[in-house]
Amino acid sequence: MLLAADPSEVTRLNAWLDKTFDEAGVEESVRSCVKLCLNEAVTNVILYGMADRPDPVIEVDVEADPHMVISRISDNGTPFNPLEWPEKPAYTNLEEAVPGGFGIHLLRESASGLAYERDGEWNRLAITCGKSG
Amino acid sequence: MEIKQEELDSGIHKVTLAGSLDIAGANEIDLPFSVIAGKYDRVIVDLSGVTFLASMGVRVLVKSAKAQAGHHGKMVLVNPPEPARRVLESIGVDSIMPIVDTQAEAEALLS
Repeated sequence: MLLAADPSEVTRLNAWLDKTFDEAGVEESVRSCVKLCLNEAVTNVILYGMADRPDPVIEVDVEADPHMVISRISDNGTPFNPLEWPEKPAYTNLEEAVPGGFGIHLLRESASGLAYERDGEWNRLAITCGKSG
Repeated sequence: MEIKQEELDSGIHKVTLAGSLDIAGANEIDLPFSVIAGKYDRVIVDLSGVTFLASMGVRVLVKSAKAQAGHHGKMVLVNPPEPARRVLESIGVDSIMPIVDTQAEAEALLS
């Protein structure tokens, strides 16, 4: 599916994911993983990747079976490899806590596989949740 | 995203959230939570109806708890569904504010 670079599009993405998961009979733990990973990755692209793009394109597709889902996000935004993003330490005390900045942490922690490549003008991120078989 | 607010007999302010706390849901509760943080010292946030929690939703909760702590207030999170609890614990939210299973436990912590 194609998404506009607008935060409200994440609601449409989530509805599409629910429908796709229902059709493929995807198990609950895999659904949770895919939804979290895609929300974090797409939110990141929308908020930070498209600031200076006059023609933003974000495309998401998923290949789903009951035990494993491979999601692919392609966007023509600022080059960004989430695998190389520095880890933010978890919160330890409220006074020093800086709200936000954990999207990439959740993506990396939740996915069972991540692969990134820069392909010309495109970021291409593949996210695997679950295991085959 | 639904947000319901009420005053408990104990004088504690209770906020009940229901729906998806994705970026759109987080944007909807951002302003109400800024008001809550400034207005109330003791707040319970019931998360049992939250169907999905992303980092942007956590951001709103932490921002609000931090603002409350600035005037010696305290926020307690109650009964997050298991996927939401995993997100909260992964980020360390359980280290900076209490997460409990029942409203009674939350009220006891705020008494």
